[in-house]
Amino acid sequence: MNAPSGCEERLRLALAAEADAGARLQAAVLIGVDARPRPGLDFAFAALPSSSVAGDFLDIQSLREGSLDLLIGDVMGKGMEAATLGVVLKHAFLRAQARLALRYGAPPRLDELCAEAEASASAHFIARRSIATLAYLRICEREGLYEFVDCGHTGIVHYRAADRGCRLVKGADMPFGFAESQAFRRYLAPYRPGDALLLFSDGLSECEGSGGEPFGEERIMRYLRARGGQSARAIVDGLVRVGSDYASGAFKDDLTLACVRAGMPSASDDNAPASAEAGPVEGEAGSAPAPAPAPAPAPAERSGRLRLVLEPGSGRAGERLRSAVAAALRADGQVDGETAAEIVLACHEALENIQRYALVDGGHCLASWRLRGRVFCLELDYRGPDYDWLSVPEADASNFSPRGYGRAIIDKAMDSAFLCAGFGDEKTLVMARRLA
Amino acid sequence: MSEPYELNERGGALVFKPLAKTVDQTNADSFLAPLAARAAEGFKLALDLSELRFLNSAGLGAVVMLVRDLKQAGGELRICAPTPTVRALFKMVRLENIAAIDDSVADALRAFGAEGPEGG
Repeated sequence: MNAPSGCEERLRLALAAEADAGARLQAAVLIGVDARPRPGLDFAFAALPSSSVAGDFLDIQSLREGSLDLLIGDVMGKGMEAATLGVVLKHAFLRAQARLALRYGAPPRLDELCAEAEASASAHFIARRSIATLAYLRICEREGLYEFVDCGHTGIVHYRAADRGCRLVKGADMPFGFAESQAFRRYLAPYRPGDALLLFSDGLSECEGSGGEPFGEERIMRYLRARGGQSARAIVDGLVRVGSDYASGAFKDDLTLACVRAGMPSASDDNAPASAEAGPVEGEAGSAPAPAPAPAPAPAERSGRLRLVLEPGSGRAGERLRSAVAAALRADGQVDGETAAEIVLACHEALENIQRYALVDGGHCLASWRLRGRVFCLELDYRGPDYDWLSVPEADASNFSPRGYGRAIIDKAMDSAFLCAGFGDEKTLVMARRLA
Repeated sequence: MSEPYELNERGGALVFKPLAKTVDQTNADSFLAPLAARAAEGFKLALDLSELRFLNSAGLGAVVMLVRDLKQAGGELRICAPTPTVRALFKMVRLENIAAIDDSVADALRAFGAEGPEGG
């Protein structure tokens, strides 16, 4: 083989310099975590850049006491170009956070935040013919709730300590750069003490084993089901190790992970990133971080569960659910009659929706509801075939639509409703409404 | 099989009162069946929902179809005395855009100009 010419050598050096600059940009700006311990929240992250820098970014910070925001994203492409667009996007989010927080005097809603960030960032992506997928997750401790917006990212795994089940939670928005603007959908879902939420990049889910098979979401969920009771740090480190073993130590893409376990004693002293290459930790420079204030006491909670038998041609399950939810809302004493009627209707429609589209021949459904911190949540767990929840038509009475009012009622009554899948044919329909 | 109901004529308008307490997927297709078959007559109809405690989306669809069929035949439907839960449903889908909602049968008959001796 001939020795490289001077021209080739200069090109090699230039490419190496670009990769190095991209890596430094990623480490210095794209991965930013305020790692101060927070009582009741145990969180950890890992950020391992690939050799060529692939545009992953991560931001974890608290915009107010009792909440934690996690933003994870992936810019298409590699190298300096991807890293630069990642900086553009992260800057757009930070500016949007500041602008909207000033306007409202409080952390902005996630859908509005994403719209504001997209307004300033999308032109850059369109001009560069690039896109970025991202997921924005907010933990709201007081309400025992998480909110998220998902723009084509890998989804969020929710490990449920109570039944050691996992759900892959996904939104339905498009990646940044597909259009100049879009209407983002913010989803809400309850969590319980001991639950874990995991954000991950496709560097993990798509890393390939020796046979070329991707690691996949199911392996991630299986790992969490087996070890979801461990600390966030142990979960993150374990997944990095298992993924690395699977890929024979060769991740071809950036690997970014963040895990939050809620309602647990803080283990965040243990929050150092998974490796020295993972970049600096924001909030640690200068003096030692101030201890977080004690959290406000958790608000009163009303909750209940019902195991429902869905039989074709019977309205008994719907009647039981309506009756139980109405009783819970009445007992709260602060929910007005019209709001209660809307919520009861939406719960009934959700159950009928499952009966009509998934459990046509009957089956079982576990209904769990909760009213806490002025947020009502309903989860309907069942086993059944896939159906496209979003494709169910939505009716308009003004156009004399004959059917499809179930979706319209749910959309009107609830702030959020989505269907997510677990292992095999496990499904959960999750709905939530913030009350005045 | 249709659900139990009461049907009267008062001053040129029909008053239909379903007696079912609940309309859900099991009976949504049948609770207005006696009227759906006659909608082409284009009559004025006061739909008395004072007995109905719960109406689901499929039942709502049946009401919407009856409103449409009556309008097409030159008739009119007014909804009377819906219970709070049913009224909340109508409000959510803005049913008032296609059918008037009255507090009582008497109000509906007055609006029709069809008050009979026993109106109310």
